[in-house]
Amino acid sequence: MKVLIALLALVLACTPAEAAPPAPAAIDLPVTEFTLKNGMRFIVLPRHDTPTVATYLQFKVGSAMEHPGITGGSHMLEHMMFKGTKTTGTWNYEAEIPLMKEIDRLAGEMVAEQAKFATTYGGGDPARVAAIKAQITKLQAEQKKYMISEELWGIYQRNGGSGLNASTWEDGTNYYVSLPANRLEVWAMLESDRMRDPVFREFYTERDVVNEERRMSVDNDPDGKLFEALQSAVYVSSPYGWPTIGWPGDLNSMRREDMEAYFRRYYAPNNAVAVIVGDVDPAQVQALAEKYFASIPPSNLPTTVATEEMPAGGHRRVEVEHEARPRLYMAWLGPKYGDPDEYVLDVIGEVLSSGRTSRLYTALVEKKRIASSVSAFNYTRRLGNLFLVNATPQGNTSTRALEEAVSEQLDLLKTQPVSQWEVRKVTHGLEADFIRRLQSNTGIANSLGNAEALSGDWRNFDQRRRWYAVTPARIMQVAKKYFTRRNLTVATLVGPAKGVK
Amino acid sequence: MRRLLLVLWIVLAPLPVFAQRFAQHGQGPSSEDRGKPPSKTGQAIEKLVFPALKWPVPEVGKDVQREVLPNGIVVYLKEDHALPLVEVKVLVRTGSVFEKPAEHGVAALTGALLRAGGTTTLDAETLNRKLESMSAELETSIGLEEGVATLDVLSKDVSQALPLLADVLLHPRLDPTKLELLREQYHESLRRRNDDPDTVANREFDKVLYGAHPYGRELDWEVLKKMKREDVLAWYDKFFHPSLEAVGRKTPATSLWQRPNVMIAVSGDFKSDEMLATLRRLFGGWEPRKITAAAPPKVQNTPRPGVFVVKKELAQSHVLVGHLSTNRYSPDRVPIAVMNYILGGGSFSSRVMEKIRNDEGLAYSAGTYFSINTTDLGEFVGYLETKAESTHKAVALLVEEIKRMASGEVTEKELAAAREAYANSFIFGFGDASQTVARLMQLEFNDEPRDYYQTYLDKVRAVKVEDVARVAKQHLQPEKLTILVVGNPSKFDRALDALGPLKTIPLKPVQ
Repeated sequence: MKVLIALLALVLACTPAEAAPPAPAAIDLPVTEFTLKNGMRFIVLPRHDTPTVATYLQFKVGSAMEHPGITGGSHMLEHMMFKGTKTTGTWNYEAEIPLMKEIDRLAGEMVAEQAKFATTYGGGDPARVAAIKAQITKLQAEQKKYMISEELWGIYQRNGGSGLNASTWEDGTNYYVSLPANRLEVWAMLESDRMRDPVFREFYTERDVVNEERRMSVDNDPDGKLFEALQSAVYVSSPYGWPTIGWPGDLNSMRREDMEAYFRRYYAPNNAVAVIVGDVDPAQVQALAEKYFASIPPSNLPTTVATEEMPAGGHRRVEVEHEARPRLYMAWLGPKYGDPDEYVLDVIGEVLSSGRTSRLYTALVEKKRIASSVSAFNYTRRLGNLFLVNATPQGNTSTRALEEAVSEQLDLLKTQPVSQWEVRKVTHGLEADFIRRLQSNTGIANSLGNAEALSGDWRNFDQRRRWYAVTPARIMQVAKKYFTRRNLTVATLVGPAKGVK
Repeated sequence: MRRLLLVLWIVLAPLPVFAQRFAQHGQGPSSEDRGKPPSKTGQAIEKLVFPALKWPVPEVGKDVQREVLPNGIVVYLKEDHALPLVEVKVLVRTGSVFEKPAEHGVAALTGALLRAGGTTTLDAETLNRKLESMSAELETSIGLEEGVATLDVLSKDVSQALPLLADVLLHPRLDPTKLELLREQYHESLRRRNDDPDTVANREFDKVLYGAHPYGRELDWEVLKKMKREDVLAWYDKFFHPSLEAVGRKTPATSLWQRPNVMIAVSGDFKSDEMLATLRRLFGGWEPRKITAAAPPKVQNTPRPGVFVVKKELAQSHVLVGHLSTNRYSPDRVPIAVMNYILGGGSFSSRVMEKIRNDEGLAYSAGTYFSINTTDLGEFVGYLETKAESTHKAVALLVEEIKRMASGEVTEKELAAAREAYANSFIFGFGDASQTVARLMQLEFNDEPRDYYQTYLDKVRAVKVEDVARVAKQHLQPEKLTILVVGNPSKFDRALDALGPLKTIPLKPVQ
């Protein structure tokens, strides 16, 4: 870390208070990177402050790689990756095989029967579905005799695993845990094992769990519900139109075999990035990588989905009825990933809503008092940027009035240059946030891993130079280009439907 | 490509539900695999030999410097030059527990207005501009039992930012127009108090458990709308002074801490002697005073068993079950934590998670926690969310697991897993200098034993099956559970009166 400090100090010290800030010097992190023969990427950053290590493993597959019929598959697979392997989570895998085969057969029948409910003509017999379900439950109980439930999770915890979890989004799936530094080998053993030979036990129970997750994060949650509606209105051609958690109909017709196919398609070492940050010796990490991961065979990866959103044909609006008070989302389609305009939009987001001196906060919350909260930010993903504004009206203010007030502020950006003070405040703020993210091993591992997976080079985790290049003139230009009515989608939560109780 | 990349991730495990009121260490394992042989990978991992971890538990006087200013302010310092940052945390002994019923909300309002309202020499706008010019983050708040001010600043700006922190604490303007703004914002949050089932469940559950006690109190618009600047000023005046005398109720002191009223922790990129001199200059003139505040009312330890239903049109029911529990001075804290770990605190391999999520697929989020880092009685809580159609079934399973644990049934294997997890993850509670220094300061502020962290690992390792059984019997009262459900009863699988006498809590809107 010492090199890093010296350079950061240098940059910050030579930023004079008044003159335009110079571009910051690049940070020279003592990273060791290597690629195994099977294509698996490793990024290692030694950091010896405390004897702990943060690990991050990303597979470059997320809901954007799905298609209608299997939406939610990437996330479902993330859940299944915790269900053990041929040698973890079981003491007798051989005995489980015939049981799982029978469960799969029954599930096929069940899904086929359920599919009949989809048409008025098909019928479908609820009693038959229930009977098959009962049989599956019985077989699962039988299989459980051979299983060691949640063994992977338990092993991590017993070894001091902290911040253990996994997450899925449109462009990727992450598995992460921090460990005492002396136990990194536990990570290598468990992760290589499940990358090689996972066994998707208890699939049909886990599907129910994911349905509960959906109820919690979407159906019951006013913000979740509104955001889902917004995205499906914004995106027509892009796969970002469906939610990462999937549509319920797809989830409920998904089968264990679908998971296996999806796994084989995407969970290959040549589609994975591992980042290790902490009190480790890179040579030792490389030895562990060779020992545990190098023998996992690579695969022929399918062509990356590249379906970008078509240019908007006109303004769109969507309403969501829900038992909650009104709230508002506005979204404008932005440029491609990595486009220079992206960084201008990052800066605009900060100018509009970061801190108590920001424009939307002072205008809408403090002066007009029509919003109780407001936030604006540029949401960057591989298939393009989306600029978002999220606001909650204060008192009896209508969402329409709030929307107009937001638009007024955006129009100002098009007609008057933003002050030098604001630009400097914001770029400094972005830089300070960047430095704060370097405080924890986990923060660094995330930044490096995301940059590597998304852009192909971990060095892109440092974007300060691009933010510093943003000028008031560029802000005006970019505001004019993207904040147009035809490019705008508005989603409003309107309270419960009238007459429904 | 900004910080909000994280916003829309969906994760495997729900974030821990506890810690709304107070934090808790680690998460843990367990699971009873009833005498099954281990897996091949499990065996291989058992055989790994790990070199010893060189990590002494941080100690005051050794790893962290502690100084007392002449006016009684206690200062904790820890240098860390890895990054050009400085973090400051100030604790003030105050809190909404000291509010009389006619003052509800004054603590929260004061906490917010300190920062929002500017200082006597800097109006709010100027203060905001100064802070944001240097990307410094300064925030203040007052919770149930403490006031907190934090400053997060680049080390090059610390000489400009620290005086602003001192100014906010010593000379707040408490601007009436900002008070008006805050009042309106609280009003809006009250109007929105029924939007989110999670908020509804927690609020109503605490109300049932604590009755009128401040621990269970919600902001009251009728009181809030009459609150004046003078009320805020009086509150500020009463508590915001250094003092070496304890405020309010006497706690069963287990150590000889001085019980300071104001404490400051600083960590990061600075030289300790220079920092100390700066703090003396900025805070040394803060006039010490004897602080007189009436002791808060005692929590009435009256069980409120029964089923409480809050009707809301929901696809999924939000469930909380529990009862009042002990506090942070309990000698059983460690065994309670270990026991809870096995029951429902150990996430995936806890009994509650295994039964309700893994076996039955009834919930995404399910577990238990003890929220007992309080001076008066805290709570034991079990939680889950399940589709309306399985509400009764899931609640019954949760209650059953609590009963089974209360009977004292626990295996050596479960206990060993829990102990190991607590011991091995302990280091993550001291991830960086700011976390370390804040933790050690909090120990003194809370009047907990000085050697709490030094002896923690020994205490964890000493927990025996008998201890778990004993604290389970003593601290779980399955027959006295308050069961609270927010949901749509017309869709429940079975009427909930099978679980106890049923009462409906009306959901009142605030206009």
